[in-house]
Amino acid sequence: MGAFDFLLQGLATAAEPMMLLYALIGVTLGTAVGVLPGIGPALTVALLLPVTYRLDAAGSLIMFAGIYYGGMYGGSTTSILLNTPGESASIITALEGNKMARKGRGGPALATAAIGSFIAGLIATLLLAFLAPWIVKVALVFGPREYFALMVLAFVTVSAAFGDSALRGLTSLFLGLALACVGIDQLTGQARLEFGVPVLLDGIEVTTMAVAMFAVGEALFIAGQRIHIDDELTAVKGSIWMSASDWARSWKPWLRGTFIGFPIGAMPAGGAEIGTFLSYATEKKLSKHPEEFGHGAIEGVAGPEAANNASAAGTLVPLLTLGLPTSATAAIMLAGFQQFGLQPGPLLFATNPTLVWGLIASLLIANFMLLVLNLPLIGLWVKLLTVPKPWLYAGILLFATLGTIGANPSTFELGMLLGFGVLGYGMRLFGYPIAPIVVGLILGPMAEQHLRRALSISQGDWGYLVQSPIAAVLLGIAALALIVPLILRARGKGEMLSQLAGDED
Amino acid sequence: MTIIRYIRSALRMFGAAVSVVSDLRVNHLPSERELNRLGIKKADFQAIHLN
Amino acid sequence: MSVTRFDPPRRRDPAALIIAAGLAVVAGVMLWDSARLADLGGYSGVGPASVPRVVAFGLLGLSVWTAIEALRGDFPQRPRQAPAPVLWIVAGLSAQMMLLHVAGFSIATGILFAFTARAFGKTNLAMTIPLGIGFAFVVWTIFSQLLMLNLPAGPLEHLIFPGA
Repeated sequence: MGAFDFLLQGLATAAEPMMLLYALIGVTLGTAVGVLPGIGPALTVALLLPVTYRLDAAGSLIMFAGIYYGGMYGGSTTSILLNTPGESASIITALEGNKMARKGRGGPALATAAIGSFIAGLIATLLLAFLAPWIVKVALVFGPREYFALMVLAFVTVSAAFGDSALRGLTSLFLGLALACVGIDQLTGQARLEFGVPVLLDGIEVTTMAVAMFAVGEALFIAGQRIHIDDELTAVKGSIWMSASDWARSWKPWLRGTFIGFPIGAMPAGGAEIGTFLSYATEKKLSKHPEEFGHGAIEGVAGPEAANNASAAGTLVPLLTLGLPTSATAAIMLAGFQQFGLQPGPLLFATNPTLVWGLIASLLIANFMLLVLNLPLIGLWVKLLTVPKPWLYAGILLFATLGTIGANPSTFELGMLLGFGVLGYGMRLFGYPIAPIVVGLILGPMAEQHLRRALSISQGDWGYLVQSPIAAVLLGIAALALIVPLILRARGKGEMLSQLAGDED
Repeated sequence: MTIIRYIRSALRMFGAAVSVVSDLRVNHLPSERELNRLGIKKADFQAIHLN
Repeated sequence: MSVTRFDPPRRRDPAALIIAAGLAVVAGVMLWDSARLADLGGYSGVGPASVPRVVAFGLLGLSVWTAIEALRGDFPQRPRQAPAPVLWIVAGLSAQMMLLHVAGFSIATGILFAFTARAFGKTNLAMTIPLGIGFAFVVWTIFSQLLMLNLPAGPLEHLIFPGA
């Protein structure tokens, strides 16, 4: 059976009324959190983990994927109307989108963002469906050492070990790996770093950690800034429809954005944002109207918005086929799979094709839902933007603690939430990235298992790890990704220092 | 030659994008040089409300 | 966005030195803990203590690196932060933690809600605490009664749902 048949079967699964309902809840929540600044898809999925614990596995995963896609759509709305990106992958959209809105062209900007997201999401999801079986075939020959090498590569790239923050990225990663050691060792059953506390035998709860980092740390940081900018909402004036020339200028950027965003999301290069910046730069270079850039060029909205949705689908390629998360959101989704006792990877395609293909097919459906949610209903989302900050953050913390209490209603768990929240605040304060600590906690135990399995095959010979060409190449890339930026940085240091700017508020 | 130049410019753009993104992840303002490589004016970038 | 620009001062950074010390302490604790594990390495020579040791040595290395950057003043400047709002939120979370099993979800979380709003500028606690408790109670009803989540009940919850 080819990918096409599987996809059709998947569509049958995904079209069941209950699955449609899960998808609808997912995309609606996703759009909402995309619109709201200060809360993103990673946090939302983390909050929902305990709530979905008793629900259907396929349905919950469809909902999580819907949240991920929806976040990418919703983020553009705030960027365009408020000049405040709801999501980091929509930062670049604000550049041209808000300028368009100020000129009274907010409607076409929102439309090109939504339609571009739709087209990119559709093409990228199909690419995912047709690529996945191939990668699964390749991955079937992967042994523990190849998986270990893949995880090392993911560790290096997620730690933002590029440029200025290599030290802080790696520190964040190693703290995550240290926390991952807490609890019962999965291979020998010995308790590690549990300090006589029985709750710690199960290890650090991913939900608690992620919620503390993303919600509590963030709320503390924003509260401490004490700067209350009065966001100026630019009303959508005029027609929301795109003119013929808007269409003519948008379709190529959509396609280019898709083909830039998808591979970047799929590579362990860390996140959707890179694709959006590249797409913007490409559009500016190729545009017939480069002078319009900076003053509201529609290409600068169309390309990056397509790129961020294509990236989201691209991220699912390594997640589903290899079990390898390349972003914080993907890492939390991996935790979602694990909560249901599922391990994404080649085996899951063989043992549970209904679930995997149902999930992929539901993404196609989610895309249609999102187009409807984001074009005709845009007015509703704009209202969300008027929620005042005190209520917004009070609500975020209420739901954040609800998730933790729901997972384990103990004082100790809430204490950990507070402790990690303060740690997350400190990390933000000192310029440490948050994603590596979360990825380290989630991926650490898996990396350890693969390493120990590989070494027991080789009877303790570490050279075995690089004797397979695939593993050697992966580890080589990881080493290069770590070392090259450090050398470049050391060389260009004088130049960098003069340009080192302060933190933003 | 032109192909090599094209690849070089693409790689430089990629490097700039990676560096800008890793700055943003830790709440740093990206450097003007990297932003320029991506065709972004620093003043425009600073006008965005990031939080 | 008001961005303050400055050249980083090239001087020692005591806070970063404390971070370096903290990393070293974490590494020390991990090494101490791994020392008491029976290393059942078997054929591979790699047992439950191996990975914690590798991570601990990694952290030690990072601690040294942090210390060097701290001494050279390479650490990025911190954004200015107001302590009061941060403490309000920490107080709210602590209050919730301590009250959860005594007063139940709604009251404990309502206080967290009000304190957080206080941190963001809604200073009238007499108004926000009842509001927060009311909101938290609605949330409690939905999640514990409809979604079957195990949320601790207190006097308020028992009053309205005697079975809870």
